[in-house]
Amino acid sequence: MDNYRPSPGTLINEIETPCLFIDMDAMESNFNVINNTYKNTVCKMRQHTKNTKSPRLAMMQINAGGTLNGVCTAKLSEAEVMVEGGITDVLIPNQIVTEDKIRRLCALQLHGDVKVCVYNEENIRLISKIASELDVTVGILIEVDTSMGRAGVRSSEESVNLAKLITSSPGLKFMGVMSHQHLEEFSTHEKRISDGKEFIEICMESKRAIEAAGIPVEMVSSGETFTIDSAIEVEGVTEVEGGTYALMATRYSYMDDFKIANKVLGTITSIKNNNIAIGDIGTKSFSWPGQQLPEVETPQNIEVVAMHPENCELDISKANVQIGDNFVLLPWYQDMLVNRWDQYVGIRNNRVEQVIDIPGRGCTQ
Amino acid sequence: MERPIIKPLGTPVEELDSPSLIIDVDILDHNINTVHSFFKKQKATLRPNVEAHRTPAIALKQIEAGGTSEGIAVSTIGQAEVFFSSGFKNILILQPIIGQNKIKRLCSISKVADITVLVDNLSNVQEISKIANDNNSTINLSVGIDCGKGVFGITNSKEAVNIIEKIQQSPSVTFQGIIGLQPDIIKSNNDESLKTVTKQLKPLLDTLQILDSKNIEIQSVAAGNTSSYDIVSQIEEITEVIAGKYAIMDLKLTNDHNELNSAAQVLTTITGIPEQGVIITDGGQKAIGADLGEPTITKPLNLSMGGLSAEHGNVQDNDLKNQNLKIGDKIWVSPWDSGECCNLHDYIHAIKDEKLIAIWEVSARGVYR
Repeated sequence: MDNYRPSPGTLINEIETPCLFIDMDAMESNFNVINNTYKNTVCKMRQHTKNTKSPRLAMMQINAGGTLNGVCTAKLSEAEVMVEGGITDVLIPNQIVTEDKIRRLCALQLHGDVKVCVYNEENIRLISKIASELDVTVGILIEVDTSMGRAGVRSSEESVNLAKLITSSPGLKFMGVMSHQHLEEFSTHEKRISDGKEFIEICMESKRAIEAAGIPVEMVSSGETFTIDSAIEVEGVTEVEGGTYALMATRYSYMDDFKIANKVLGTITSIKNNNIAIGDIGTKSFSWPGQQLPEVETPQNIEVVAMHPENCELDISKANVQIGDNFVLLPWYQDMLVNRWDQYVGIRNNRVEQVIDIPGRGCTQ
Repeated sequence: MERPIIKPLGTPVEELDSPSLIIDVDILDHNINTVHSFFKKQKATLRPNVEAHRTPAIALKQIEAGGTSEGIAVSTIGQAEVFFSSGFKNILILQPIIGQNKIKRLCSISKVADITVLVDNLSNVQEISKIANDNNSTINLSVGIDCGKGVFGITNSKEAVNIIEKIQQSPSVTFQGIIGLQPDIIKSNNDESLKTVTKQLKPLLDTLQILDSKNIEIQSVAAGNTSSYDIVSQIEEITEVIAGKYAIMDLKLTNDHNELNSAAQVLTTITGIPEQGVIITDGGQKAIGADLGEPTITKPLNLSMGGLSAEHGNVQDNDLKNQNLKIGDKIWVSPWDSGECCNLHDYIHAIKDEKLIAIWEVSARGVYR
């Protein structure tokens, strides 16, 4: 575990590297976009904290506005981290299936309202059995597959059957439906909006079918960063699960209202020749999903040409670079990067403003 | 920080929380004994590169198994500090230490432990010498020679000797040896492999020859990695072989080394079977890692990894041979690169005969600086 805590006021070029840092102005700008988008809508943001793993950042978005007082987490242990951080309204848009994890889920209800998604009868029965035994009530949503081919029911009929089972099971409170969308890279802005709405409509079909069966649906939790602007156009969606938008990644540069706020500061540790230098950021500290070479933010005119476990190779043929110089890499995909680090160093005006813990790091259970 | 449910020792492995990094101690011990017994019969000693697992409990087993230089190798000053606080006092840092703050840390730990650090350029030597001198410390330096890996190291032997001579003239630094940095080899028969490795190590051996001709004394000539540990050790001039992956191994290396087996797997749980042939698990890239290659499902048989998203495994049962599987059942996954996988976890669940026998902390997980 890393426990690096530079003093506030430290200049960025005095930070020990490699270092995951947040451009605080950029992150706040992203939080303000959410406030502007959702402040006057019924539908609100529910920040997906699998991307940030920090109750502090979640609280900053809640304070900035446009959101519910709650968050999403991908895993149960992440939900524990959020509840311990004071955020008690948590939705886990994922399945909790083993008995010992369901016990932990029930224990969390003593301090908060931690809801979970289901799409299997056996899973519903087990949660009901344990919740009844422990005398707690767990909020339940049905996950609907709209395009990912991953988790979720494949039809509205299934949704109705499960909703009936949930409402008749002790220890459970049926809350609504949830979906994530799979959207490949988009040809145009219009296509992104129309695909997003079309997929979320599949989730809405389940909602309407459940209501037609006489069961009220309180929550429709859907969406992600690339449907932030389209999900609110689908009437009936109550909340949007955006995650990446907070810190952003180059892969989603078409979401151009948002700025890249998570970056990694590195140092040139060796110069091989006039063309190639070696930096101290490698795949272990940066992550390398999709094996996409990361973009260099500064200095200009240098490029990453190869990644190694502990190092990167930089093309310096067009730049004047010395050993000890800093450089900054931008992530192509950000939540795998955040999961490699124990703290964010928050930077404003080239100085350390604050150090923010990442207690959800490694919380895959 | 990872927050697994910690079960009592003796718990059957399939009842452990998931996703969890599991190491079979019998396989680990077999791998360590195989390689260390080999080195007990060699002139060269083995220096385990613990960057591969970042876990002091495993490093202790490696040192106890014998055949070593009684020291370890790491990648960063932070890792050296972590292993020093677990009792390791002979540590080689295989990357240059750049910048005043880190060099001061190097001076501090060098006063209480036997630390050597790799250098590959003159300005770094001068900076270390100056800071060590100001701090009344002496730093041991080994010069990195690039033998094809293309990351650190000097490519030109004359330039290397020039830097070595400068080290000898500089205060508060001592010249320890040279380190050849080689890429992995694809193994063939012994003669061919030896030819490949000898060719790789030419810049190292050339440097050594010039040092000999100048009567410059040298303590250690190091090289190697797991892919070529048994080949590099045949080269007479090599005094120390540096290797790390052999202890845990992984899919990347086992093909070429039948004598060693993969000791690490990630235990994952089926969280849903949304349609026939599609099995969703709780083990995605954050728990297993897929930076350098895709993991493989080892148990049950006849399943394939269709894709690994951040949080989920998307497992395919294409031939429908596993229709008996149900939610809550376990799927075992072998990582392509165990180094990446260890760096994702704070704990290793050590098992023997399918039961939990210990939980080891991956103390240097995330220690990059």
